[in-house]
Amino acid sequence: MSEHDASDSFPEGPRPGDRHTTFFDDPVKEHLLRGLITVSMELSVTRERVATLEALLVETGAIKAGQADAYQPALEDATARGEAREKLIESVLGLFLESLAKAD
Amino acid sequence: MGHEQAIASEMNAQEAGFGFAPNHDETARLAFVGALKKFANFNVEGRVAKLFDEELLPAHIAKGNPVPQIRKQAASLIEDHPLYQLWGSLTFHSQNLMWDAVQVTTDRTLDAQIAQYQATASSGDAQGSVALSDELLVKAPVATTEIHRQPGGYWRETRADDLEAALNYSGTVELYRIAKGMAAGDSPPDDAFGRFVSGVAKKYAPDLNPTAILDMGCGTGEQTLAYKRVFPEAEVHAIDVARPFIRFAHANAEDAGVAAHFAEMDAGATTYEDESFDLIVSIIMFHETSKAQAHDIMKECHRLLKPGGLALHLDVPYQPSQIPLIKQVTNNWQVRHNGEPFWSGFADLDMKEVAINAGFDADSAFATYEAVGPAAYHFFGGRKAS
Repeated sequence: MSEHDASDSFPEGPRPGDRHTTFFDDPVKEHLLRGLITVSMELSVTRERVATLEALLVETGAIKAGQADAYQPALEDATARGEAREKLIESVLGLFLESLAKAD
Repeated sequence: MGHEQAIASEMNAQEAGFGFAPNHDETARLAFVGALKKFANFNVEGRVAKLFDEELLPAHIAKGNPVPQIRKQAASLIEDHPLYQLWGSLTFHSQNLMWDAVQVTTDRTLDAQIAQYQATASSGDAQGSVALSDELLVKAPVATTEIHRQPGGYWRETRADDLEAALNYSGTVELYRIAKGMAAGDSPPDDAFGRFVSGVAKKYAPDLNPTAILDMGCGTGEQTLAYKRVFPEAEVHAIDVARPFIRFAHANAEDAGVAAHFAEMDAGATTYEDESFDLIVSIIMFHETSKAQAHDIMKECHRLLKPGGLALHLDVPYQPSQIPLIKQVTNNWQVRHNGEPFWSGFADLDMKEVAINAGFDADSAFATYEAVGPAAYHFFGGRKAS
């Protein structure tokens, strides 16, 4: 029936497998926001993992409640942590610094 | 038993059951995506509606323009606003993250789940059954669209006894409940929607004692189980056009110890004999069909019902009379960007009229709304003349 033929046409929809349609005027800003959301998601997952591990350690008697909060790393460990922290900041912000410096 | 053994034993027990089984980190990731969707659906979409109602619409009228009457006119007022773009971006990206997140669990567990399905299907001591059909022609839009942008769509297969599409879909169900605010407080049982529909069936046809029930568009079959649990004397059948879903539904029902018969079949052209059932139900199936299929399915319901039998279908309550213009705008965005090709088309259909055209008496056909918790759903169908 022609009525059936006409009613089975559908409005335009997303392309199969499309992940990159953007909605902001500036797609670069939108992709930065999406990246930030993904990082936040993984941070949330990691936080939950750490909370689970700490709860299990307390439950099994390996540590006491509050012991992780009171923990002070030894000097060598603290130094290594500081270096890793600075390396991470450099890896995130270094390219911005270089490209904006060049833009001047 | 030592604590480590207890933990290992608990993990084995979790892995032994059939179905979508995310591990610790996968569960945390899904919970995040659910919370992100809730933020987009409530916080951001709420602000979009407020912006439209309190700023854009009054400013439009103050300039001497007429009040928008249809969706398209309302859309033109808000489509270029950055807040609306943010809502679109978050809705689109949260869907990307959701499919990525469930895929991780599916990839990790797929082989074991398929092995479990194969063992169930060939065991010979199943309470229910599974019937696949090589003759079935899957129609548009399910055949042509990645509904909800699910990668590969509902029905494609890439391996023997494939369950991939069903596992991925099943993984999103709990997440959607979080996103729509339905998981607040006590978590409802997995078959809550089927129980809700069963309750409405008893309300609309209190004298009906179904002996044979058909669940159309059953998907992964979690809701099908409710009909057997609520009406234990009835023989329960369920159909869908997506083969991976039918396999999943069978293994899931057997794992739950519920007797149900699943078949790969088109709801608009089944192979059951006339007057086979006295209750025919569906849950959010119609908005994933087409105008022509909606008519065909309702006609098929009338053919399959015994005299006095009830057809009772649940779907989304997004008819234009039920929702404000701004919600019609965001719903139409779902058509364009979230693989919901018949979402607006369904909302424009008068399902009572469809039921009458299919053969139901005008005084028995209905199109109503029933609430469950904070949400209301559209119910429609009819009772076949005795």
